[in-house]
Amino acid sequence: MGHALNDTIQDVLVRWHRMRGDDTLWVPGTDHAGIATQNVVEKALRKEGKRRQDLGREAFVERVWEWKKQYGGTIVRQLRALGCSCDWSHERFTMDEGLSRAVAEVFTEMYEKDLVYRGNYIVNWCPRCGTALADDEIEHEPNHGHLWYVRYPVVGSALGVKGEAYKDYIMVATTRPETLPGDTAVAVNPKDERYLHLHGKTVILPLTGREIPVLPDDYVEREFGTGIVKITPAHDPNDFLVGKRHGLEEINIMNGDGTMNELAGAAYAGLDRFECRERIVADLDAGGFLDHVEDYDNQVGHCYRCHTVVESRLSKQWFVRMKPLAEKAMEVVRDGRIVFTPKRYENTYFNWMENIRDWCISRQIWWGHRIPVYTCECGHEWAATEKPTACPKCGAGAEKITQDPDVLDTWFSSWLWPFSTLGWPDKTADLARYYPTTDLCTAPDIIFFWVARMIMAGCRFMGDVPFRNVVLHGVVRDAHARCPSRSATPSTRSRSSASTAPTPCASR
Amino acid sequence: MQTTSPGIDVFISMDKFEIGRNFGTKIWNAARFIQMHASKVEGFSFAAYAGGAGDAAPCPQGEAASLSLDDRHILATADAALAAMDTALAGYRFQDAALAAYDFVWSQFCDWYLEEAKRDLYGDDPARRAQVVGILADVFGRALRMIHPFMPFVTEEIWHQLAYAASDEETISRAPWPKPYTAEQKAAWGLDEEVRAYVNARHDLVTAGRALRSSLSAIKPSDKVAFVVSAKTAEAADRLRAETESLAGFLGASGVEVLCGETLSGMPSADTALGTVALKLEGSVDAEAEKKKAQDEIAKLEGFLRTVEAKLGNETFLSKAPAAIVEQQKARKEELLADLARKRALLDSLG
Ligand SMILES: [Zn+2]
Ligand SMILES: [Zn+2]
Repeated sequence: MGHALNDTIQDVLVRWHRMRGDDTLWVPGTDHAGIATQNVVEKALRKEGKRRQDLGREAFVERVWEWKKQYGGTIVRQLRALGCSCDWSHERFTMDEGLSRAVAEVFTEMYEKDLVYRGNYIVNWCPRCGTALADDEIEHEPNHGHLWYVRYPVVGSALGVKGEAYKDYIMVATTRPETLPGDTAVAVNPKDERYLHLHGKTVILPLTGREIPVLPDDYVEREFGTGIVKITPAHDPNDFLVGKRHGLEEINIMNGDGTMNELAGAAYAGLDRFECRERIVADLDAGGFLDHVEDYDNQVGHCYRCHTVVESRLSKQWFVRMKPLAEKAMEVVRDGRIVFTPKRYENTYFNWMENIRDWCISRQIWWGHRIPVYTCECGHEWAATEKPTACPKCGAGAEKITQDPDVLDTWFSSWLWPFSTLGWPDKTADLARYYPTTDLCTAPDIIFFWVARMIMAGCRFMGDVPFRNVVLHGVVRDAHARCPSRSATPSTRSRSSASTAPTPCASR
Repeated sequence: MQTTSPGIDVFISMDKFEIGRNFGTKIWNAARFIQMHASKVEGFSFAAYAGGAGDAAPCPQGEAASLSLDDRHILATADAALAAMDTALAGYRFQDAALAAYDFVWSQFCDWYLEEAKRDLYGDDPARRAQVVGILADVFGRALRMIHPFMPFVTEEIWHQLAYAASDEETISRAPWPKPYTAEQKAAWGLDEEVRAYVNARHDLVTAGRALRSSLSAIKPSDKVAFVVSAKTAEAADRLRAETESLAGFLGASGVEVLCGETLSGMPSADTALGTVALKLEGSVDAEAEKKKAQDEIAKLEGFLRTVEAKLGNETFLSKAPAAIVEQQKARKEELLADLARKRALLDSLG
């Protein structure tokens, strides 16, 4: 339905414009829905008792292509069944050769202009499988656990931990005491009147003696525990974001296999994470830091493959620097070169653009555009649109060169749609005739994922807006409030009447 | 056809869902009707009305001077609907565009103009028959193209069935979008706002007269009853007098007497922009029996009203009942008050 609605609206626009004699093009197509598609194929493999690692990268990708040929046409078939007035000779897929070339071209240029960089990001990690997991590869299950109330002495209080609560020490509730050595702050909700006096104070992290600040942050729920939480940026996704907001240090205290490392402290290094939990609780108790323990039910994520409890882990990921792209993209909406209908969505757009964060574009999967970054054994790293045969620095052959194993976020190809589908990076007749397009129709829930990014890409790589009008309409959702169809991107555009628009809704 | 404003709610293709289906049936019936009458006109070609040749000659055949008020009204209304659609689509207001097309085709074209045209189509003037068929073909051809973006399948099918398409290869999706009538055409045919306003007001008057009929239980749909109209102006009276035959047809009346500036009392009546329309009771209706019936119904409604008011005055009910139930009772009260007002007016008019 979501698709049908969007398709109908675009169809009305395209037919109206064409009858009025406007030069009209509606490019139908889909994106490759990286994570969702890879999951479907992996599930099928599991029925055969195999993992993707058993096939190896090349054979696995081959399997996904086969699957795509067999089932990937659903969205396009829907468009045909609806009688949509698309130009079928222009049908495109984000993994097509031409579109893939556009992706490599854009990434390489961004790499050379320092618009992409590698930085820390927190990912889901299975200590047993030794791989990163996407959000939808995690199975959440109810867990009967505990909430430990731990005392952190306030710096400057003469009495130390044995004094008066919230004056001489604060009480922090946590479900994961083993991560305590990685704390770099504690946080309270800025509106929580109980703790206004703590703003700007410093507390002592038990067992380590390290001093950490008390920060006000909206993320903290007043109702959770005491309303004071510990912030461990290297081991919790929310804490990671809090850390980014406040510029906190990220202390990684765990190894990839789920054991503690030396940053956890000499007493804990080498211990398994759950063993470590018991030891730390015992040590807190012995030191007078443990106030009390409560039973606590919550949800714990497990690896969909091996059912091990999942960790959050810092890892190196690729990011796009969004600020320089966002400035231009705001300007073209501010000066009316792009108009949103309804107009009120422009505020939503500006709001997001003004607070934009860098975009993590690498994914630890195999189905997608592999990141075109190469490293030679000599240490040289570079990006290239073609697979290199020799190192440009030392001249070593291909066997000395390794490519980044990750693939790019699916949106990294969708954001190029308005020009990649018209033949860019070549200077084609279609580009001259139809770019910039006129209308983009889509649902408001992908303004940021897709619309804003297309505007950025168009302004940066074409030097002009990708479309003149952004038309937003309602989304139809099923009873479970999820988008109803597989993630895919039928997208369309035309010139005098353009239109475009995927409604990719799956997990990203 | 449930549609949406941009950014809100859900837009639904007219081809699919129930109202769309009913609308489709309505258009099909209109198509068959027009085709049947066109087949009786020697050498008639729908293709001449497909908007080709720059939409140059949609002109109804025959003398412009012989166009009726209803002809002029439907041509002017088609033009207005086109303008409304273009404005709405240019602003991405898909709901407004769909509603403009829907209202024009269903209410204006099918419910009023086709009915009005029947008298001439079944009449004995061949020149006038040909003229009316020409107008039908022109307006319907425009309507099909206007609906096409919303109902691509049905409109394509009819476009070929009626041979607006000159060959199988042609498609309505490539037919030109209708163009507004030129200023010259409008002047020559007398398409102006004044005509639209008058005919719309006459439609309102007929609608009000029909409501009077149905408010009296003694009158069966097949009964011929007499109406009287007291026009507000002499000009309106003249126009209505010239159309009593048509008015009687639409009202299912044995006759329509047109007066000017008179107060009509002792009869069920309704005020409209053109004047007061009233139902003559002598002969056709037993006034005393209707009075008794109205009084009984008023008593019954008053009883219901007391019950509802008692509930709404009860603090326990207001505090305990779910909000939706309370709202329902409030709506029921409004409904009863409106019904009562209508029945009391009817009783008054019965003298
Ligand atoms: Zn695992
Ligand atoms: Zn090298």
